[in-house]
Amino acid sequence: MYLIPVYILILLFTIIIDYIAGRVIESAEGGKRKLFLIISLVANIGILAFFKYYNFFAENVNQLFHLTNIHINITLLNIILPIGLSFHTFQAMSYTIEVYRGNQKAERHLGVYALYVMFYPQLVAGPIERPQNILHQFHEVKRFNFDNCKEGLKLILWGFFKKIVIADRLAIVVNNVYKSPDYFTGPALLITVIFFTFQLYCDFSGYSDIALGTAKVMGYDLMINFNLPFSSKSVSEFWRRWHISLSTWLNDYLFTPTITALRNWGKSAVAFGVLVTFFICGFWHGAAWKYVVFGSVHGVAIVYEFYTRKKRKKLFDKLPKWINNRLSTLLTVSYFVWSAIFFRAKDIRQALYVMRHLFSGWQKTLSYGGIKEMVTALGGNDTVYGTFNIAIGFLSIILLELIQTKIKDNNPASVIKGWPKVMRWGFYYFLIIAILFVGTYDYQEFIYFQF
Amino acid sequence: MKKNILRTLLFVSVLLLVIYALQYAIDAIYKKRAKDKYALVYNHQADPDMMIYGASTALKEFDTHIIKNITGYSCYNMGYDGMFFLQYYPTAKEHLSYQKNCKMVIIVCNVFLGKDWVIMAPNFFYAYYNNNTLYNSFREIMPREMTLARYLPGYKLTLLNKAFYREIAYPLKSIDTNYGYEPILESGNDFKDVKPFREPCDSSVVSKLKSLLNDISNSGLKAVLVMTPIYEKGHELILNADSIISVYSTLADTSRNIYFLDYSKDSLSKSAQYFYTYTHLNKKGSELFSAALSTDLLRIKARR
Repeated sequence: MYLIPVYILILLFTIIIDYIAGRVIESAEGGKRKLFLIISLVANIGILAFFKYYNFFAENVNQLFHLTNIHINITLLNIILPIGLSFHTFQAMSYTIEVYRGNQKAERHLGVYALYVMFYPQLVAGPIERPQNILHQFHEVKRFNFDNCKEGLKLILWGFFKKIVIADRLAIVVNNVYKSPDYFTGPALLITVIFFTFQLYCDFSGYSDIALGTAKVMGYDLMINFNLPFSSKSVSEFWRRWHISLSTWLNDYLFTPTITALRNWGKSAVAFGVLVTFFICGFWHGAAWKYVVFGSVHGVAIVYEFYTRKKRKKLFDKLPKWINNRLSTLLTVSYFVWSAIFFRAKDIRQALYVMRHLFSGWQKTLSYGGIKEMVTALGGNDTVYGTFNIAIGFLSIILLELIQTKIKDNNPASVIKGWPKVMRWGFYYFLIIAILFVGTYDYQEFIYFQF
Repeated sequence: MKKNILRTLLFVSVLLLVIYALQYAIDAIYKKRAKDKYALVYNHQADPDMMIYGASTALKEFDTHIIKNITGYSCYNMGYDGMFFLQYYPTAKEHLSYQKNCKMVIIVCNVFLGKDWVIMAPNFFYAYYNNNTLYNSFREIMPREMTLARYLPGYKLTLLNKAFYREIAYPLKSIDTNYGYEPILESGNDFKDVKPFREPCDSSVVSKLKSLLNDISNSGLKAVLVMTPIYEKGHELILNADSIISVYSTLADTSRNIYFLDYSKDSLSKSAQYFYTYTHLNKKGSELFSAALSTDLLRIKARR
C-alpha cells in the first residue's frame, strides 16, 4: 500500500462521476437510467481494471503470445495500486446500483457523498458499506456520547489485541516458513498453514473491529464484517460469516442478478452463479492466479454442498447431533485452512509444494531431537525464539476461540457481561497488558491493505 | 457525566500503576539477569584495561584476542551494527563514571558522522532509560519516542521486539568468549551497485565527540580515534571521505593524550580479499588490521 497524493484525483474523479450519475439516474426515466448506470459502472470498473489488473492481463497475454510464437509484447506499466481502491470502488458502485434500483435516494450534498466514499475508518480496508446503512447517518447531528465512546474503544482494544498480539506474532512464523518452505517438513508446514488462517482472520477482523470502533466513537454504526466464521458448519455458511460486507455485496450485485437472468437453467443457474461469483471474489482479492484459485475452490465446494445437500443430510443425521456439528465445523475450517495456502503462498507452484509436503517428514517429530529441530527452524535458527512464538501463537489462538465463542453482536463486552466490576476491569487490563507486553511492534501492514 | 469522568480517571490511573509495576519488575529482572556487553557497563560490571566503541567497523574489525595478546591490555569490544556515535556515547560516559582500571579508550571512526535517526537494538538499553546520560543522548536520535518511553508507563514496550525476554530467559554469553568481537568470514563485493555519494557531517555530533574525548582525557585515560581501512574503490564512492577524515584528525591533541590513527588508505585497502563491504574488513582483514593496530597502540601505551 502506498499513499501517492496525486491518486486523490482518481478518488475525486470517481466521486464526481458517481455523484452526478446518482442524481441523473434518479431523475431520468426508462433506458436512460440504465445508460447512466452503465457509464458509472464502466468508469469505476475501468479505473479498478487499469490500476489493479492491467499488468496482470498484459503479462498473461504476453505469455500466451510467447507460447504461440507470436512476437508481440504488450508494454507493462509502472503502476502502483491506490490505497483501498478495491474497497471504495465497490462501495461507490453499490451506491449507483441502489439508486438505480430505487432503494436509495440520490445524495444531494456532494460533501456527504464524498464522505460516504472516503469515510476514513473504512476507506482502506472496509467494511464495504451500503448507502442505506451509512448515508443517512452522515446527515444526523452527532454529539459526544460517553456510551458510544466506551463501546467504540472496547472494539478498538479488541481489534488491536487480535492484530498486535495474535496476527503479528503468528506472522513471524508464517513469514519465516513461506520465505523458503522447502527448508521445512510436514509438521512445521501444518503449524504454519493453521497459523496463517488465524493470522488472516485476526489481521482482517482486527482491522474491521478497529474501523467499527473508530466509527462508533464518533457515533456512526458500520456493518459487521465477521461473525464467528470458524463456527461454520459448511463452506456456504462460512462465507455468510467471513468478510460479510464483500460476500453480501457479491450476493446482491452479482450472484442474485446472475441466477435471476439464468432462471430457465434451473439448478445449473445456481451452480454457474456460485462459480462466477467466487471466481470474481478470488480475483477481487488480487491480480494473481493464486487468488483466482483461492476463490474458485470455495465456489466448487459450495456447488458440491448445493448438489449433495440431501444425501449429506441423510448420512450425517445418523450421527449424534453434537458429533455431526463438530465434524461439520472441523471439515469446514480444515477446508478453509487448506484453501488459504493459495492465499498466502507466493504463487500456485509454491502453494502446491506446501500442500504436497504437508504430510511428509512426520516420523522426525517422534523424537525430542526432531521436535527441537523443527522449533529451531520455525524460530529462524533460534530454539528459544521458536518456542516463544509457537507457544504464544497456540495460546493466543486458544484464548481467542474461548473469548470469541462468548462474544455476541460483535461486542467484546458481552463476554464479561454480568461479571463483577473488578473482573470486568481485569479483562480489559489483561488485553491492554497483553498488547504492550506480548504484542509485536515490528512493522506489519494489515494484509488487506494491499487490496 | 461527572461520574463517567471519575470512573475513567480511576480506570486509567489503576492501569498506569499496574503497567508501571510490571515494567519495573521486568526491568529489575533484566538488570539482574542480562549479561550482554551493554548490561555489563550499565550494571558497572565491565572494567577492562581498554574499551573499544563504535559501530559495525568496531564489532567486525577489532579482534580482542589479538589486541590483548600484543598490547597486554584486556579489552571489551562494544561495537554494534549500525550503532552511530550518539548511541554509544552514553555507554562510554557511563563507563567513565565508574571505571577504575581502564587505561585506554578507542573510538572507532567511520565516514558516517551524520545524525542518526533510529536507535539500534533498543532491547539492549530498554531497562536503562532512567539513566540521564543515556536518555538525553537517545533523545537526540528519537525525541518524541524517548520522551514518551521515559514518562509514559508501557510506551517503551511498543518500541521493542521483545527480544529482552530472551535475554532474561537465556542470557547471552558472547562477551565471555570473544569479548564482543564478531567477525565476518566471507569476502564480498556488494559495493558494485553503490553510486557515489556525499555523507553529511553534523557539527553537533562532532562537538559531542570532542567533549567525550576531553572527558576521557580529563579522566587520565588515553583516547584513540581510529579510522579503519576503506577499500580503495570505496574512496571513489564516498566523495567527501577525505574531508570527514580531516575532521577527525583535527580532534587529536597528543599533548592531552588524544590520538588519531588513520588506516583508511592502509596497504590492506588495496586488496578486495580483506573486505566484505567497501568499508568493512572480513575476518582475515580484521586479524591483519588488529595486529597492525596493536603495534601502534603499544607505542601509544608507552607514551606518558
